[in-house]
Amino acid sequence: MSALLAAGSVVDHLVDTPLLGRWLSAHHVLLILTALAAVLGFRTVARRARAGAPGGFPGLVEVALVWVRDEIVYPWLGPERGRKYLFFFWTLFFFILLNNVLGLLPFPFNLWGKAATGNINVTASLALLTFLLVQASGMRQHGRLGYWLHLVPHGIHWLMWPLIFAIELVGLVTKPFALTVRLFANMTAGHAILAVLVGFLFGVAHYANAAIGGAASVASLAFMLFIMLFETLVALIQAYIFTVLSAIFVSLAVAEEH
Amino acid sequence: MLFSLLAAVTEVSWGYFGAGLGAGIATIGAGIGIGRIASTAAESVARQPEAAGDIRGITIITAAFIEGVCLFAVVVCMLIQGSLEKAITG
Repeated sequence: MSALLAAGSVVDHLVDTPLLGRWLSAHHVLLILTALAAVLGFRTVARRARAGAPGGFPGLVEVALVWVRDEIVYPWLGPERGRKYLFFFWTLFFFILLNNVLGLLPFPFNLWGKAATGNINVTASLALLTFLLVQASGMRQHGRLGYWLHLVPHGIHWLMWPLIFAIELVGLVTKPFALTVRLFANMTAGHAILAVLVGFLFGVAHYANAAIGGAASVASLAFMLFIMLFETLVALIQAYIFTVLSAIFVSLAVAEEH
Repeated sequence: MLFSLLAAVTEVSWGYFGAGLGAGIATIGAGIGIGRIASTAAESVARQPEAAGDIRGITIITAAFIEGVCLFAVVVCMLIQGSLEKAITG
């Protein structure tokens, strides 16, 4: 068990652990675990909730789903269009949320103590999904060519048009990039702080005597508790921010000119 | 002692120094920004306690954005550190 938890340095807690050469790694397994948990969990909840007003755990899940619908999707996309995109945003929100929270769970639930969303490839894939959805929605709304021509707002002088078009194109790419880095960095930074604090437990007693080591351990544990609570908050907030920004980008792409 | 300290500083050490300094300075900006959000939010809630829910939402979202910008700089510093590691061992 200690071989799973020990690491050569702080960085080993942050990067992926290969399990089967290039084919399988810790983050892969965590992603599959999250997907299985989400599919099985939501199916069970749906089956139990089908008969009338749900209570207990299905009721809690319904509260979360309704909250995402009424606070994230419908305010930005409206009821009719939002109804069509609702499943994507539900999937996105709960996938990110489950991965973030799974990264905080202790040993038996999460064998490596890592978060799959702390891998920039995972967050880049999610941002790529958002990017593709934004382009597809815009092209469906304004026509395949009309979407690109309408990137530049009305009322721009024609001399400025190429410059503004270039800026808008760059903006199209930087927004998903920002989504990627924001989620990746928030998850990685939290785990980095925790790894450094755990390192204090081992390192201070090694370099100083036992009394200083004991005091540093108590302080380190107190900090770790606080950082764990803060990381829980960050996990929820980052899932919300990713989803709400995706909804905003889609709403910007399908906005009618007035 | 000072001479041995100076002799130990190489170009690679300056790279680590730069990475650490960059991450620290970026945190200053984030701290100032989020502090201003918090002070304005507290003032607004004091003026109009009924809007506390809306203000709480705005505070949390904007604080997460500013923290994201700070973490961009931290990611750059992590990349610097990674490439320095590779330069040392590679």
